[in-house]
Parts: sequence; structure tokens; C-alpha cells
Amino acid sequence: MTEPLRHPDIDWAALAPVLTLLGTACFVLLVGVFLPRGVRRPFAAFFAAAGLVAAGIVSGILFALDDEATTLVRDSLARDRLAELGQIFVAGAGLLAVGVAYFESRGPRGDDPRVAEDDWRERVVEGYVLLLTAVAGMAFFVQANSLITLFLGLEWFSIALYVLCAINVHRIAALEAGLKYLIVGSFGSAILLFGSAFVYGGSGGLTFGEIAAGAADGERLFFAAGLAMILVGLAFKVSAAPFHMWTPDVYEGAPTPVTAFMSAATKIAALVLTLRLLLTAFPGEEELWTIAIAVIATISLAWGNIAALTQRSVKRLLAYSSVSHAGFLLMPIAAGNALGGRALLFYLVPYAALSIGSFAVVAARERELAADVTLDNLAGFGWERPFHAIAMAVFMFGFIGLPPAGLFLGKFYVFTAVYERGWTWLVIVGVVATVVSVAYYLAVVRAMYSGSAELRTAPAGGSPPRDWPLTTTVFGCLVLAVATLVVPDPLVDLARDSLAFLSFPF
Amino acid sequence: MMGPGIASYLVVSVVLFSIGAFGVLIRRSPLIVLLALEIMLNAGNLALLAFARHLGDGDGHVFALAVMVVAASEAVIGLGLIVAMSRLRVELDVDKLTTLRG
Amino acid sequence: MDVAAWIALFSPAVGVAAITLLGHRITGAQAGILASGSVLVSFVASVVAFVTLAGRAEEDRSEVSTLWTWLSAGDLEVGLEVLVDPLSVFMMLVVSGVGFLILTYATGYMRGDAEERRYHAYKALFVFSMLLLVEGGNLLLLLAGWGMVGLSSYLLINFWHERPAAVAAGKKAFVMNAIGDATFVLALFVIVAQTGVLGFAPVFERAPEALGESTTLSVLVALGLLGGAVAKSAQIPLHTWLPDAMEGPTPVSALIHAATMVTAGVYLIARTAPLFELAPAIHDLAAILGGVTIVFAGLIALVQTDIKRVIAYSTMSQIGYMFLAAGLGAYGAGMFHLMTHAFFKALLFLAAGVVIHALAGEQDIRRMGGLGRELPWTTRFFVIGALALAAIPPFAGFFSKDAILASAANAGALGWILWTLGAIGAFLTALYTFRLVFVVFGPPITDFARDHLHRERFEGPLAMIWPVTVLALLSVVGGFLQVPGLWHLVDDWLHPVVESIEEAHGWVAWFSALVALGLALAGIALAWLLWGKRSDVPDRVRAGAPWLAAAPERKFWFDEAYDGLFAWPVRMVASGLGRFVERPLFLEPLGDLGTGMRGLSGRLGAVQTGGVRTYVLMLALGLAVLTVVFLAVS
Repeated sequence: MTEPLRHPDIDWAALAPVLTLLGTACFVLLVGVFLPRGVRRPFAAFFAAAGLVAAGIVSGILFALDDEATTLVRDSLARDRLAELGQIFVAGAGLLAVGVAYFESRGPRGDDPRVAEDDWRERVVEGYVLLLTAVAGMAFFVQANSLITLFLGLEWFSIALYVLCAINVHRIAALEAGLKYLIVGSFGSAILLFGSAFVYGGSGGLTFGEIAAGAADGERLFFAAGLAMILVGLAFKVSAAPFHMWTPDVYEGAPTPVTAFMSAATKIAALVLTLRLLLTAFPGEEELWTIAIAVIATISLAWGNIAALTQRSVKRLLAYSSVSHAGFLLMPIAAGNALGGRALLFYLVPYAALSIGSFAVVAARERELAADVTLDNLAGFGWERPFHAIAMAVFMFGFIGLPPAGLFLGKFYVFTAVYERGWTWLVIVGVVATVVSVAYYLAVVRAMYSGSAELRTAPAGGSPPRDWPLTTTVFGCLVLAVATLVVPDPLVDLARDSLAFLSFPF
Repeated sequence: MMGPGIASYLVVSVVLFSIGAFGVLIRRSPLIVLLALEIMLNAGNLALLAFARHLGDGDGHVFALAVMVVAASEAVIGLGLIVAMSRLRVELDVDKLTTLRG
Repeated sequence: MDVAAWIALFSPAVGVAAITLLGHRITGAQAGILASGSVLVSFVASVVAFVTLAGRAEEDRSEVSTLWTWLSAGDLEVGLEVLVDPLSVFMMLVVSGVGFLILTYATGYMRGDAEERRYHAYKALFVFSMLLLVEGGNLLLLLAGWGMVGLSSYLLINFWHERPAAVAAGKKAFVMNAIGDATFVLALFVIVAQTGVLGFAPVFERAPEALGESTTLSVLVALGLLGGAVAKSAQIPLHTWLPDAMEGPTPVSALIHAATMVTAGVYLIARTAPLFELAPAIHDLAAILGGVTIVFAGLIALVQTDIKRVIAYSTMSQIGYMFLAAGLGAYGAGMFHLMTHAFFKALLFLAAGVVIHALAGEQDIRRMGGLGRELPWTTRFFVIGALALAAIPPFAGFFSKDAILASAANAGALGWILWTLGAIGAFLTALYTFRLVFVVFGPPITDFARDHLHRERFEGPLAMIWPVTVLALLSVVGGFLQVPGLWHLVDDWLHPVVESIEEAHGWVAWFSALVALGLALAGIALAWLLWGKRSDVPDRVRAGAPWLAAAPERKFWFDEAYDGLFAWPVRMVASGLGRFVERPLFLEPLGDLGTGMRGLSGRLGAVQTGGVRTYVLMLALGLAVLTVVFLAVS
């Protein structure tokens, strides 16, 4: 006797952003194959951008509609404003990355002398498809409301990123970056999985709600060990120290547009989900995780900032900067109060703009020189590319937390949140870290405007082709960074609305 | 039906996880490292299944199935990278993959 | 109307941006046209705002227009907003109107200067800052405008940055203003902390409750505001920067030190009148400082030999009148004098500029003489300005100064004391002004003037002459806006914003006017006797009683006193701190710290071996520590 298969009711609307992205990805992949080479790039880029914009709009509509938080597929996915805001953020980051990637090129070949054509140009369709897939994975990930969907989402976008990192299969550095990311990342995923199993055993459930409900009667030891492992897995994705060590290598080896995307989008997705997970699944362990995260944030701030001091490669420098910003971004979660939640969501936007923008400028320089960008070969950039250089200077000042970028307010909110938690020591750590960071951020600015008089007349970068998609992206990042300072209110309101359904322990 | 208790399963799963972790830590061939990673994921699966049986709950089984799919895709990517490397005649030794450092 | 106000505000800013961005693509002359054109747009927009405002009922004449709100937390709203009311429109008209004339003059005056573009950009920037100051709809914007005015005046004063004197003067102006800015900012902090709002209207509404009347707080607030006003308007004791600031190009002197910037203090007192009225003692102090400055600056002006410095001290003295009026509550009279003063003082500066221009940059009046025959039109303009300054009817200065004195005469005992100072000032004003007229323009012509005089058509470029003509016209007719006893257009116009005190009536008013007029005429007569006839009395006095001349010539030793009291001790303390505290306590340890950090950074880099196994190990170690701690805690 067979029962009809039971299947859960599915709220397709809630899945619409993810499905839009996946659908676009399939469309681009299938149609792109049949197109002549010449039109593949504009075709793929256009539809990637269109898909991202569409997904962002769909999420925006859902955001406007959803007054209250609901779940779907037997509580394993969430439909609420936090998820939708996270989706808008990652789609935006993806959109900016589309522009940076458009003319990606590292010269005619990688390390293989037999290959005349640049890999990215060869694989532009696959590249954009993978980007769309990664964004789809992140959009799914920020909706996760159970450990299954969390793990699936994490692996989904991670696998897409492993491939993206190594997409230049003729460059040894790219392959090395991809393999390292894969090994360390899988190790992290395995830890996360093992932790999930223990939390499951300790609470008797896999959805966040069940975990919180079952925490009291379960086995404490399993529960605590599982929480520790899950935290490690997520901290790994955020590139928080000491789980960050893959970051500089992967950021350096990956194609710069991919780095730009990863540095912003991975952090957004992982942090939004960390916030949701800790608040909804582990509300009873708040003392444990707030302190643990505060310690991780402190280590990240110290390690990232100090290690960045002696970097010469700009991409590595920015990678360490992203480690230190992981620290700043974890601080509001550690604060565990509503202000902290708002601070986190606010901070993410200017941070993403600054990060993508600065990697975009690095990409521009890299294409001019056909070499890795170091502080030494940035010399003269200020006169050769005045707009890019000014934008880069704004980004660097922004990272420090100075106007005219919105991170100024972001840092202010973060520090206020931590201060309200009563952790003055953490505020002091943040301020000291900021002071240390001035040294290497300003080193970038100084490098751009240094250089002898000959450099002014004979540019090191020659005269590269116009790269309007990249320049537009840089401009967009600049506008976004400044706009968050000038008109912060809408973003603060969005953040407040997104968090309305959550309750904070402190 | 009597069988080993949940504790035994968990001990085996922790041992498997540790074997996998040590494998990643001490082996230098990326192929073996990938194998070790698979062992770690399967240790997780074992723990999930043990708990699922213990709790009498189906969700753990679903999770384990999903993990298998993920593990397979990861292995594919890993092997693909290794093939691409051997095409470039890069020695397959993770300790010699150190062009990116500092 | 608010659109007009925004256009008025941003037009000069657009001018600055255009000149900066176009850079070498435009010539200096085109930059000048851009700058003065943008200010002309401001003026037209101000007129539009004025007409619209005048067409409204009296109680509707105040409007706050918000472009955007930057931050809002509770009642505290920080945003870009302008306040359009009779007072700000009055100031907008003066600033942009006189500013336009001066900028046009400058296009002629600065022609051919190597850095003409930079100059015009600074000028437009100054007008923008000034408009921001007078239009700013909340205390923060007022502060922003205040600071930017200080910055742009600094830039303009040491525009000729290759001259050490100009650089020193710029620094001095900056430091003196910074003292005022500091007290001003402190007052603002207190206001915001106590009232929790930034907009003018809400602050004034809550101030009586939040600050109290004549309490320590309200006195401190008023004192802080007064400090800012005194520094910006060069009143005693923060006046020493103004004469030195004459190192800037002449139109700069006219723009900054006559027509606009120095009157910012008067505007501030009028604008924040409700706060001053909470602290009557400080309000009186403002009037007293004004009264003392009138006489004091008049005495110094009497012995100066640099044509621009004489006018500069005269400016201090005239602003003293405005402070006196504002301090006594006669805001209408004060603002009226501000306006007429802007006309005739700009006229005097610009006419002096023509003289300096004609004499190839010479400013010392001892080398001038007999220019009346050589520069007849300039002489006429200068004399018109001088008559207006000396308050001879029917020139503009007479009516405004008379209004101030008449108000003082109606303000009790303190009023009468200040009236006396004002009357003495009227005598001194006439004396030093006509000393200038007789020495510079009266015969005989000096050898220097004969050798160096070079005349162009119309005694100067057309761009310089016609603004002077317009100003001369305004100096003649500008006074009829307000005739004591007959009509009070300025008072009535400002009525919705500030309530001025009543003027004296009847015989007191006649007495006041006639005495002041008599003293002014006596001053002119004495000037004629002493300098017009080239008498040797001044030299004999100088020889007989050197201290009598020395005191004003050394400016009553203010500079020396400040050097001794503040500059020297501060320098000593600073160098002592540098040697005995900074180096051993900070520089050396911090240097070590920096090296240590870099060393640590290198070591962290060494951990990053590039080997993936290290990374995995780190991950595993981190996991182990975290798990053990979590298990232990549970």
C-alpha cells in the first residue's frame, strides 16, 4: 500500500529571487554556447546584470510586502525582511562585480606559453554564470532557517567561488588559490557539518526554532561543542582571525574582479546569516557566543591590521584590511543588542562599496601594467588616472573611517553599540586598530601620489583601452560610499525594519 | 533489536573525523587530502545518522543525503583543479604550492 | 522664494567649482567674469527673495527651507536648511550687492596678476561662505559659514603668499579668529546640550527655560557668542588682526574688512538677540566694547600713515557704533549703519585702491599729496565717501549714525555714557577722515606723486570706475531709507525678527543730532587747520610730547602685550614640553612601538607560509581552543 508522496507547501514567491538568479544563469549558459565569440561577452554581462537587477527588485518588492516574518518548506527557509535585505545587498555586490569583470584581462596568457588568449575572455560566459550562481547561493544562504539549508547554501556559493578563483586555468597562482581555498574551505565546511550534527544531537532539531526550543532538555556538551564548531565554520567564511589564513593567498591569486566580489558578498552573506543563526537558534547561549565573538573580533583586528603594515602587494594589503574589517563587523554581533544589529547592516553597505571600489581600481592598474599591483608600481597613478586615484584615496580614507565615506558613521554606530553593551575595552581595541590602520591605508594614498617627474610625462601604465564598465563601477562605489554618509537615514530605517522581528538578548 | 548504543557511533564518528583532519594536516598529495576531506564529511554524516536514529527523527537522514551530494561536487571541483595543475606540469605537492605567501 | 534663496547661496559655489575645474582652460579675465557673474546671480536672486518677502504679510515673512536632513535623532535634526527672513534677506542683499560691485572692481584691479584665477575663485568662495553664514538655517550651518568665512579670509589675506608680511598677517587673522571661533563653538555646545535642538526658532523658544535668565549658563553662552562676534568684527580686545590684514589686495580689504566679513559679528548679535537678552550684562558688555572701540580706534587712525590702515582703523571704529547699537538693542539702527557703512567704506577702499593703483602700489600717505588735481574723479568719490563717513548730511552716514546716537540717548544712564563716547567718536572720525583727504588730495603735489603717477583713461580701467560710481551714488542716497522722526524703513523691515528699542524723540533727538553734527564739522575744520593748511602744529606736538603720539602709533601696545602675555609664554612652554616631555615620553617609545609593530607584522607574515597545511593547522587549533573553552564553560 503506498501513500501518495507528501510534500511541503512551497511559497514560490519567497524563492523568487533565488529562482530568478538560477534561471538567468541557466539561460546565459545555454544560449551563450551557441553565440559567436564576439558577442558572448556583452551578452553574458548584460544578462548577468539584468538577472541581478531583477533579483534585487524582486527582493525589494518582497521587502515592501512582508510586514512579518514567515517560514516555508517546513521551517527550513525564512521569508522575512532580514533575508530580503541580505539578498538585495548580495545582488548589489554582484552587480558591481559585473562591471569590474567586464574587461578582465591579465595579458595574452597565463603561465602557459601555448595559450595565446586570456582565460577570462575565453570563459566569459562561464564566469558570469558562476557569478550568478554564487549570488544565487548567497541569496539562498541568507534565507536559511535550518542547519540543512545553511550547509547547502554555504557549499553552494563556496563551490561556485572555488571555480571562479581558479577560472584562469593557465595561471599557476589562480590554480593554487583555488586549491587552497577548496582544501581549507572544505575543512571548514566539514567542521561546520560536524558541529551541525552535534547541535542536532544536543537539541533534537535542525531548524533554528527547534534548536532554540530543544536546547534546554538536550545534552549540554553536544550543544556547546556543536556551537563552537558552527562558529568556527562561519568565522572562516567571514575571514576572521585566526581562521582567516586562506584570505590573503586566495585574494591575491584569484582574478581581481572575483576578489572584489568575494571580499564584499561573502562577508555580507555570512554575517547576515550569523546574526540570524545566533539570535534565533542560540538565544540561550548569548553569554557564550557574544564573548567568543568579541574575542575573535579582537584577534581579527589585531592580526589583520598588524599583518597589513608590511605588505607591498596592494591586493594582499586589502586582504588583510578585509580581515581587520571582519573584526569591526563582528563587533556589533558581539554587542548582541538591537543597535548592534542595525550597525552591522549599516556598516556592510559602505564597506562593500569601499571594498569593491578599491579592488576595482587595483584591477584597472593591473590591466594597465599587466603585472601584480604593488605599492611601488602604484607610483604616478595619481597623475595618470586622476579619477581612479581620487576614488582610491576616498576609499582608503573611508576604510580608516573618515569622511567622505559612510564608514565614518558605520564605525560610529558600531562603537556605540559595543559601548552600550558595556564593553568599553572592545571600543578601545577598535579605536587602537583604527589608528594602526591609518599607517597602511595612507601608504596606498602616498604611493599613488609619489613618483618622480618622469613618471608624470611618461606614464608607467601607457595608454590602456577605455574601460567604461569598470570606471562606471568605481563611480558607483564612490557614490554609494558617499551617499551613505550624506543620506544615512534611509539605510538606517531599512536596517531597523529588517530587524524588527528579531529579539536581541542585550 | 539490540545494537551498539549511540555512544559507540559517536566515538567512531569522532575517530573518523580526527583521522580525516590528520590526513589533511600531514599528507602532501592533494589527492589524498581530498580523500581525507571526504572522510571528515562522512564522519559528520555518521554522527547525523546516529543522532537521527537516536532521536527517531527523519531530518538527519535528509541532511546526510544532501551532504553526500555536496561532497561529490566538492570532489569534482578538487579533481578538476588537480587535473588543470598537472597539465601545467605543476608538482602535485601542497607544500610546494607556495607562490602566494607572506 | 526659498528657491531664490538656494540659488543665491549656491551660485557663488558653482562659480568657484567652475573656475577650479576649468583651470587653465579659461583666462584670468574670464575667471573674473565667472566669479562676479555668479555673485550677480546671487544678488538678483536675493532681490527676488526680497520682493517676494515684502509682498507677504508681516508675520509670514520667516521661512525655513530644508534641502535634506542629514541626521535626525529625536528633536535634534541636522540638515542643510536655509532661513529666509527679513534679517537674512537684508544681509543677503548687502553681501551679494556690495560683493558684486567689489568683485567687478577686482576684475580690473587684478588684471594681469599671475594667479588671477585663484584670486577670483577665493573671492567667490568668500561670498559663498558669507551667504552661508547669513542664510544658514541652524546653528551648525551658521558655524560652518563662520568657519568658512575665516578660512577664505585667511586665503585672501595671504593671497600674495610670497610676501612674508602677508603670510604673517594671514596667520594672525586666523589665530585671532580662531580664539573667537573657539568661544563661539563652546557656546554652541552649551546651547545644543541644553536645548537639544539646532534650528534658530526652536532654540530661541526653549532657551529661556533651558538656560534661564542671567544664570551662569546663559551668561556663558552669551559671552561665548560675543567672543566670536568680537573676533570676527575686530573689536577690542581681539582687534589686532584687522590692520595687518591690509596686506591683501585692496579689493580684498574692501570686501572682507569693510563691507561684509567684519559685520558678521553684528549680524550674529542681531540673529541671536534672544540669547543675549537672557544675559543683559553681556548685552551691555557688547555695547561697552563697541563704545570703547569707537574712541580707541579713532585715536589710532589719527596717526597712521598707511592709507589703507587709516581706513581699516576707521572700520573698527564704525563697527564699534554697530556693536554699540546692537548691544543696546537698537538692532535696526545697527543694521542700517552696517548697510550704509558697507557702501561708503567700500567706496573709500576702492577709491584708495584707485589711488594706490595710480601710484604703482604706494600706500604711504606721506609720499602722497596734490592728487586732487591729477585724479579729479577719484577725489570727488573719495570726498563723498569721507563726508558720508564723517556723518555730514545728507550723506548716508549721517542718518545711520544719528539713528544710533538717538537710540543711545534713549537708553538710560549707560546709554548716555555710550552716547558721549559716540559723540567723541564722531569728532575723531571727521578729524582723521579729513586728515586723509587733505593730505592725500590737497595741494601741493609731492615729488613722489609726480614721478610715479601713471594715469589710464578715466583714472583706471572701466571695470574699476563704474562700481566706484555706483557706490558713491549709494553713499549719497542710501541714508534716506531711514530718517529719524519721519520714517524707519529698516526698523520696520526687521521688525518681525528683532524688536528695536525706541529712539529718542523731541528735543533730545534734536540735541543729539545737532551736537554730533557740530562735532563732526568741528573735526573737519580742525583737520583743515592742521593738515589742509599744512600747519606745523602736529609736528610741534609730536616733538613736545612724544608719548602723546607714541601711544596711538604703537596701537596702545596691544601687540606687544599679547606677545608678552600669551605668545612668549606659550612658545616657552611648548618648546619645554617638546624637549622634556614629548621626546622622552612619546617620540622615543612611540618610535620603538612603530618599529616593534613592523617587526611583529613581519613575523605574522612569516606565519603565512603559503603552505596550506599551516592554514588548516591554524583552523584546527582555533577550533580546538574554542571547543575546549565552550565545553569547559558548559
